[in-house]
Amino acid sequence: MQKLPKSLEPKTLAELSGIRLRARHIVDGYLAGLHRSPFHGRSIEFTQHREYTTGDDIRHIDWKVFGRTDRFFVKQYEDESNLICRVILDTSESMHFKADSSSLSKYEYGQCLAAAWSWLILRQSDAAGAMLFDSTIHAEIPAHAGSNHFDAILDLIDDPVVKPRTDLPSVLHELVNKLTRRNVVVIISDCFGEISGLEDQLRALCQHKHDVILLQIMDRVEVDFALRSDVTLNGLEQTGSRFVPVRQLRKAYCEQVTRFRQTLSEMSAKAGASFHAIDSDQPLNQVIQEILMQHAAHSVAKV
Amino acid sequence: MTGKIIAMGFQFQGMWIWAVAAVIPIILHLLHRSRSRQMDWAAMQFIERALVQSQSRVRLNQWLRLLTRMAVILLVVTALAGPRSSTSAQSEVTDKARTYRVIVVDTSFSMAEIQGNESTLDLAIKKATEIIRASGEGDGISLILLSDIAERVISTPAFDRDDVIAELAALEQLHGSAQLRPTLESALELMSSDGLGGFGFEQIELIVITDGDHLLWSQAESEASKRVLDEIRERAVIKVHTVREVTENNLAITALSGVNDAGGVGNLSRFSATVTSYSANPVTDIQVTWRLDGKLLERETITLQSGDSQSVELQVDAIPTGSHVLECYINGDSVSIDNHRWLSFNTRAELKVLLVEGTQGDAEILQLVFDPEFPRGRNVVTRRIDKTSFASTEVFTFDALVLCDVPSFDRGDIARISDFLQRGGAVFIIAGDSVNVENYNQWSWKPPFRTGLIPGELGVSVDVAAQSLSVVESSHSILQGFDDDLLRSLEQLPVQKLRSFLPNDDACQSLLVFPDAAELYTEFKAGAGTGFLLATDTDSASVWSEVVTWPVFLPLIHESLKYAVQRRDQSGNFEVGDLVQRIVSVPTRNARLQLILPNEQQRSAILEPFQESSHWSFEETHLSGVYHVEYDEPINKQEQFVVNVSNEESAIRPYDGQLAGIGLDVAGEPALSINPATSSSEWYRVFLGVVVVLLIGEWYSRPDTHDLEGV
Repeated sequence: MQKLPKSLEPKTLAELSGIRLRARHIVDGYLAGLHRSPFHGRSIEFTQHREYTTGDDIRHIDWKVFGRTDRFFVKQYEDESNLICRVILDTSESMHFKADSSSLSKYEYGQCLAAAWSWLILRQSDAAGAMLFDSTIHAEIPAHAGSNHFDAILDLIDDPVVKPRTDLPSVLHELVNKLTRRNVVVIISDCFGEISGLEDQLRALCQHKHDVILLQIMDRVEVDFALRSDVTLNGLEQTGSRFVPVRQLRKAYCEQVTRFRQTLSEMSAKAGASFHAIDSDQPLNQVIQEILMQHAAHSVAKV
Repeated sequence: MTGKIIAMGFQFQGMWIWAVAAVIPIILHLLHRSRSRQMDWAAMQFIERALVQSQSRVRLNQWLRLLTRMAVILLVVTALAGPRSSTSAQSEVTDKARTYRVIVVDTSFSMAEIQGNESTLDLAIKKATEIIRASGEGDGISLILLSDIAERVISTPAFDRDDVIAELAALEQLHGSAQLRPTLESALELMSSDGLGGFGFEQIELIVITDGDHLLWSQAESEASKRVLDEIRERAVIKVHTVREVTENNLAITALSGVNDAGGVGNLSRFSATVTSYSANPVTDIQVTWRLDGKLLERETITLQSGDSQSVELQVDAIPTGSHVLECYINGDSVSIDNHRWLSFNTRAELKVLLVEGTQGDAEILQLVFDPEFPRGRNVVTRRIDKTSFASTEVFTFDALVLCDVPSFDRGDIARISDFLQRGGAVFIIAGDSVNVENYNQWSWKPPFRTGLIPGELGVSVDVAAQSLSVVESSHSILQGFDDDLLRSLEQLPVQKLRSFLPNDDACQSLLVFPDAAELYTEFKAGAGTGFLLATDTDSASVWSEVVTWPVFLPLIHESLKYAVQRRDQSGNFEVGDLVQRIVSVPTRNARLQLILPNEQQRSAILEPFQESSHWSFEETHLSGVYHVEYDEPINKQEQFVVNVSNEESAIRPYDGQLAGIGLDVAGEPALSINPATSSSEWYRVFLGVVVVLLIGEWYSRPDTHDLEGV
């Protein structure tokens, strides 16, 4: 297995200020050496041959041409260059939570994921776009191909307006109505807030032939509730204050978190979406690698 | 059913003030909530759900922990308050009834032991103060000191607690042993007072506060003490509080003596001190320091093994003639009182001996015995007078008086001789063939008064030619320097006849006797003086004996003279609790003197006429050290005497006996009560045991914290 560089650990990324530097680090340090992504078009109408490069699926090698020329060519199909990927990034107040022991806030971690994803798509000449949301989609950059578009995406996600509330199901509903062509939709959020209609909206997206990937990010402290002493917690997103006896509550809290992620996972599975629970202290390269591998398996299964 | 209800009581009621500490966990809990750390939190939805899920469990857990912490504090306070059980009736009376409390505070030697910053007496005073403060309105209090005398500080029941506490605060550490029975009798007397009924007390308590020293509490084993305790128990509840047990790590100077070759004559003096360790461990670097009249002489460092004694010698040249005080002390341990010892002694240039001749020639050869270098004696100067000159001779300028077969004395002679003896003079009485037996017996002592001429009665002459002489007491100080040859020679003294002598006072010590109870040489003591009776004739021409020609007779007389003079010289040495009596050779009435005690306090005394002199006495020798005496006019002089602690006091250790007879076990308990069926130690342990269990329970009930991160 490929040895993952340590440089994409959140601690290392946190030492770089701003998403541009982080994105460059991610691209140069990891993504540039990665094989081609598993995302590509699925049109069956052949258009031309292209010389084989590392990372291309060997199933697409045209062996007849190889017999004639002794060189590897792969077949290209009509829609392949028209893959559209949209990264939907949660900018609500809860996403900006960062524990003292954490290197990056959930939003900063999401930024890095969004940048990495966009670059992967743009690198293979497909179109990438981005949207920011809280209770609604409040900022957007349309999907375009070309490496110049990467900077525009970074501009969008760099300095968002923070709003206190999240409403993911409502945003997904808005998205269903908004997306007309088939998209790969990557949702990056902590998914806090009301999720009762989430499954329906995910299913609606999937039924519109969108390829949906839900990346749920939580801070490590939010997962483990590893606070050392009793504390008064001031809830973000207008959720009030509570004195919390940490030691007595820890077990029940962890059960709730586990149950929440389990629910999200089940909803996604039922709707036909991919779900990944991510802790913000996980090395970024490891997370990307796992998502790519799982998505490849998921795509094969779908095919 | 017996109907007997067991109630809980406490020995340290004052400890209950600490019960308010039980609210500390509540205060901490509230403070903890209000001052808890604040932080922003995104995942509040899980908090809310977790709280709903486990709210009742969390709340129960918090209450249990709060109650556990309060219970721990209350149980510790309860344990420290000295819980004990008693019958219901008794405890109710103890708590509510008007009570007469006779508080006995041990102020004896061992209470001076210091551990930390406080002596045991300080703790006893605190304990007594605590008891007094806890007394109810209308309770009466008396205060007695448990020391060498049962001093009543407050006899009549006092009702003003502040007054009693002020008296307590003024209590002083005494240096003597504690006498239990006299103190108990004194307390019993207070309880039995006819006037007590008028105060309307409903019960009486005898409260003894002590360190539980074995010297004191072993006295409780005597039948006499048990009887007194029984009588007290009929009237009162007896409670014994041991505020602190004595430890066994004491060092002491247990002896200090002068070893002088010639009865204090000459310039060379040798002294010896004995340092004893009562410690369970070896003690190193013990500094032994000598001071003469306050000036540092010498310092020496020694090491002592556990239980060992070591003699330390001091040799001093050219001590000026006169009265001196030698002090020997060691560096401090936990009981400092016995680290010092003083010796009062005199040095002189010569000894003066007055020989009173009864008949011509009787004293002539004796003069040579006392002063072999006569007429130019070096250490002993003798003067010989006849009986007729005796009345006009100033005898007090002499150290020894030798009455050589004087036939008779008149009243004035006897008064002077008796006075001379009382004041420390040495008197040699030669009862030969010339004495008038009736006259001598007329001046015989009539015990218990040791005044007169002889401590017994003379009888007829006895023929002892056929008998051999015996040395009765070869260990006597006079004969200690005699080897076997000299002792055998003493037994061969050539005596044919002697005058029978029947001692009538236990102050007499027979030294040489014939087996048929005919005493030849007898020592007797009166006041500071020492007398010797030789019941035969010393005239060289006498047929009664030829002892003066016998070589061993000379050292016998010289050792006797030295012994008598040394005893006089050391008559300024007393033990704590001794009665000091002094005779001053100036007849006066109502003259005053001031005594300055070792603690710088002053006492005054009045001189009383005594025969041709004056005398005074002083009994407040409760402190060891040097006492200075300053006489007013017309005597107008100063002197000093020293008081040392008793040796047996130094071996302090906890009493380890079981006083089953009176149900009193002093060993190992912080506080005791004799009357109630008390088991304070068990309760104490039970409460502490519960505390330990609760703490362990609380510890194990804590959630796992091993994987917590630093947040």
